Amino acid sequence: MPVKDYSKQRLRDFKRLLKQAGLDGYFTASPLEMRYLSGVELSEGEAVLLVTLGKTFFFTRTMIVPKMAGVSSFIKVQEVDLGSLAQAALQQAAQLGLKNTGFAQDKVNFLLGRQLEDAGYVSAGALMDEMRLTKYPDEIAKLQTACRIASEAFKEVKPQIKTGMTEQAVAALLAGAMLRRGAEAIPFNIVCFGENTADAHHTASRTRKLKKSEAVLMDFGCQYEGYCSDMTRSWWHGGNAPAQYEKIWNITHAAYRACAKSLRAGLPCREADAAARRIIEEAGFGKQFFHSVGHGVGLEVHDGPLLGPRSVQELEENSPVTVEPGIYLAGQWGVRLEDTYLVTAGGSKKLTKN
Amino acid sequence: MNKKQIPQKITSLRKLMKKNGLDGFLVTDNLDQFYLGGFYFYPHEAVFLITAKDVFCWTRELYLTDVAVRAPFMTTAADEDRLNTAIKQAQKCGLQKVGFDAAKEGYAAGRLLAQNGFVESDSLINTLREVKDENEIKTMRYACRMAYNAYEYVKPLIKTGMTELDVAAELEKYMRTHGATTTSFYTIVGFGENCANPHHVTGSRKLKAEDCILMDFGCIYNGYCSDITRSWWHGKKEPAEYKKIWQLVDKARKAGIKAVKPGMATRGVDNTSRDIIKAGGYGPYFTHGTGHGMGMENHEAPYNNQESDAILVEGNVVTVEPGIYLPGKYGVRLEDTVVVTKTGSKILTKK
Repeated sequence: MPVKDYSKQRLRDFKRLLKQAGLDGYFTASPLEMRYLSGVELSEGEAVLLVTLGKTFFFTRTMIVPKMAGVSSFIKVQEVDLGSLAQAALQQAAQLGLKNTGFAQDKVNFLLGRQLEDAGYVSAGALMDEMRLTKYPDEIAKLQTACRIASEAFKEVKPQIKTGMTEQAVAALLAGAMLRRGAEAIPFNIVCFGENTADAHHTASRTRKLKKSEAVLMDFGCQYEGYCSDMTRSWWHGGNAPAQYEKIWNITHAAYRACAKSLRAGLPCREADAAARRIIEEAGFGKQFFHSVGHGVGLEVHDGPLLGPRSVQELEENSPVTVEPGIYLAGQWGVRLEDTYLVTAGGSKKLTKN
Repeated sequence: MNKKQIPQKITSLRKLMKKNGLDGFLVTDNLDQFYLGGFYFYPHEAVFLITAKDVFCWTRELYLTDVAVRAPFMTTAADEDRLNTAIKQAQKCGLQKVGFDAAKEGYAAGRLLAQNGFVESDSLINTLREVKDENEIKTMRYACRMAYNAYEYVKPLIKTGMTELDVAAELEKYMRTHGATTTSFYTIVGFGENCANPHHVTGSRKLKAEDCILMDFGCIYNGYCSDITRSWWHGKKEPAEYKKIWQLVDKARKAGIKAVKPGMATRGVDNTSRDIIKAGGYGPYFTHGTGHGMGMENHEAPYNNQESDAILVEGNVVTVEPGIYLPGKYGVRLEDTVVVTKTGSKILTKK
């Protein structure tokens, strides 16, 4: 089902934010920021975007122009044959008489940042980062599709996981299932067996085979039109789970549920973290839960806000976040349970389903 | 072997630092860190400071055990204020001139460093990364062979009615089953008129009985990329014009690969391929450079294009990938990844 594209609206809203901040323009060379405002997927170095309160300009190379066919009605595309794209944008800004143009200090490298500052450009703080926290309907639709792809792919693959398969073979099955459903990329695909489930940063092994009876953890997601999904499943494969595994699974599950239930617009992020952490700490596994309970997702797998014990932000409506508590017993096994939720006014909506 | 033995790459970096008059070098880019330490941190989760004597690493607590095992030559500590700690450590060591990579460092961080006496430097690690050692070439050969084999495996599976996504899924599944951790870029599979768009996004277009196919893909194996493109006609009625442009592109690819050798200007490689396509009358339809360097990133220096001033040296790994695109009709691109040898070049994307 086609979803209305909100790029024009986003650009309009961003211009309003610029104006409120007293800026007359915004410069960016970040593929992520350019994709956010225009919908065009770009690689590093392929284009520069100059937003003014009036017109918006893309500076790019001839080869890249076809990518911009869809936005040429509201963004002026300027071909630059030779020389720096940034320089071309600076010249355009000077011609337009811009006096107070912003850029994000953390989205440019030192050389470009100094060039911009020498030209009188100013820090726009986290203007776009903050705008990106709450998603537009087209972003939510894309994210929902990414979540659906991951959930359905897992449902297809789980019954195919058999004793003797390697972690890598399972990761390949899952990747294929996500790609067939339209995923454009798979930014991470963690499959762990046995003691590897206790390693929060494990990468799938080509040799580690699934034993007859042991723990499995899969943390995966995909990217669909730029937007990421993220989910984790942990279970005991074959035979009866040891009592201790079952115990930590149940504690993690209780923590996951408490956190998911706490989500609502206006809740301080650290309270969402506390809702899960309290349960794990009270059960005596506080030290074995050494990461934050969740994070935002969007154009980046780890988008804002962070749901951690030291977070200062509040949850906002239409902000997708993960809930992913875990308990890791080094050398034995670990459990993490994760879904992506959309924060709503009065609660939340689960986007990754079984 | 001494467990604390210093890797050759650190030794090479120290030499390069000395040449640039630096007594310290700061590394914050996670691929550069992987290059030096053989350990993959998430972005922004570690800071390295390399001096003539030490390799300091500050990172998040959850990495400590792994780093101690896999990179024992580093002095590693948990730290949540890594940049400031590095600044203090540089003072403590009495370093006079510590460089940072001005093209990779973020502006805010770069300014903090500059204020504390660190100096802007070229991307020293990029310079090292351009020339691959024996192990890196072995790894890239494996990654490239896997990509080539994926093509051989998938080609006979392709049937009329399949979608571009179906084909991409088979390619990626094959590569992951054979050890790839991920793809080196979004897998491009194009049918028909989509082949004429060098930036086509793989979609649900179905393959017709008579259609052209273009696949441009690669994988990452042990941190290193591969890149290959194949184009062909699916069906029995290959149009004469398609055949003509295919042969022209193939001639340009072969000549381009032959031109790759130590001492050759990258611009010369581009000219070799471009001149053939120009002479065939399709100059305006070859809208991109002839190739790019490859390694831990799918696009890195040296570039085989007109804007590059590089001269190829032994150990460079580059692609040769001329193409002709006829909008609305079809397109052909043929690409191989090659390594520059002592006397010429060797194709890596083959069986």
